[in-house]
Amino acid sequence: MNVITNNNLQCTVALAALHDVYDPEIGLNVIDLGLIYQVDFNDEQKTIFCSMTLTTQFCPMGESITDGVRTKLQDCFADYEVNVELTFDPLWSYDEISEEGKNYLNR
Amino acid sequence: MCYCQCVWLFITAFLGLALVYNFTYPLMPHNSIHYLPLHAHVGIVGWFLLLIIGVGARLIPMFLISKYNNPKLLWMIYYLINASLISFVILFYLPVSPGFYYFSLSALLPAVVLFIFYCTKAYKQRMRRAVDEQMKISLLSAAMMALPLVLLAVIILFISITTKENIRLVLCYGFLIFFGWVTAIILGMTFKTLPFIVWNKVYHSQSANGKTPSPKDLFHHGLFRLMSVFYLAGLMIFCAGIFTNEIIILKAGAALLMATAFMYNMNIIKIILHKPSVQ
Repeated sequence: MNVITNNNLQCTVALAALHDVYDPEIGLNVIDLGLIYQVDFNDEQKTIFCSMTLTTQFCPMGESITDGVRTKLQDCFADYEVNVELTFDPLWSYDEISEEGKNYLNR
Repeated sequence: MCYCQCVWLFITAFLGLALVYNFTYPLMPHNSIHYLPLHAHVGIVGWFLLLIIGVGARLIPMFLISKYNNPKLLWMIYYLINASLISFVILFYLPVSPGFYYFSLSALLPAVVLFIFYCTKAYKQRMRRAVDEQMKISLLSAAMMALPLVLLAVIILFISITTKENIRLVLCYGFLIFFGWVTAIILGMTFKTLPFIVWNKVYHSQSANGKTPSPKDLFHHGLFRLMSVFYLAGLMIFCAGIFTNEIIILKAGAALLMATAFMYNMNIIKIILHKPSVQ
C-alpha cells in the first residue's frame, strides 16, 4: 500500500481513521483493500484532497464507501474541507490488498 | 451482450404479438401454434441466455472476488449464441429435415460449455477462499445450462428417426430450462443483489462508523440452505415424475417446489423488513 501524500504526519492520522471504513461485502477496510491512492493537505486553504478507487467500477457499495471516506476525513479534520475524487486510473488490482487483507480473505 | 438481448427481446415480443393477431387474421402461412417453438427459442436464447450470460460474466467474478477476466472468450460466446439463433431462425423457415437443427445446436452447446469454463476459471482464481451458498447455487445454475441442450440433442435425434415428438422429453426440456437453469440463477442471485439494495438503503449513512452488518447478514442462512435442498430435491423428483408419468411423484416434486417458493418468500420478506442493528 503506497499512498501519495504531501504531509506524512497528517496522512498517518487520516489513514488510521480510514481503517474504520469497510467494504461490507468483502469485510475489509479501505486501507487493507488498497483503495486509497492519494491524500493531500492544503493547510493554507484548509482543504483535503483524497483520490480513491473501488474494487470494480460496478461496485454496488461504491457510493456508500466514498461517502464513508468523506465522512471519516471530515470527522477527523473538522476545520478542513474534504474533496474525495473517485478514479479508475489506474484500475484497482488484487496486488493492492495488504498482507493482512490477503490473510483475511484466505481464512 | 445486454444491448443485443434487447433486440432479441423486441423480436420476441413482436413475434408474440403477430402470433396473437394470426389467430384472427391470417398474417402468416401457418397457424400460430406452428410458430411457437420459434417464439419460445428466440425468447429463451436471445433474451434469457444472452442476458444471464452477459450479467453473469460481470457478477460471478465480482462476487467471487476473482482475478479472472477474459473478454475474448466472452466475445466468442456472444458470436456463437447469435450464430446459433440466426441459423435456427433461417432453418425454421426452410423446408429442411429436423437433423439440420444440429447445426444451430453445434454453435449453442460450445457457447454454453465456454461459459461454464469461464465460471470455473473465475472460481479457481478467486481471492476469497470461502464461497457462500448463494454463489454455489448460481454456479450450479451455470452448469445446469448444459442439461436442456443435451436433452435438445436427444429430442432432435428422436424426431429425425421417428418423425414424432416425444412429449415427455419436450416437457422435461422446458422444465429444465425454467425450473433448472433460470430458477437456480434467480434463487442464487436474489440473495446476492437484494441484500445490497436494502443494505444501501439502511446502512448507507453508517459506512464510516466501523463494521456494520454485511449484506449477507440480512437473511436467514439456515432457511436459505433448506430452500436449496428442497429446490434440488423438487427439481429431480419432478423430472423423474415427468419421465415415469406417475402422479404421486409429480405431486411430491411439486410440493417440494412449493415449499421452496414459500421459503424463498419468507427470506425475501426478512430482507425487505430489515431494521438497522447499528446506530
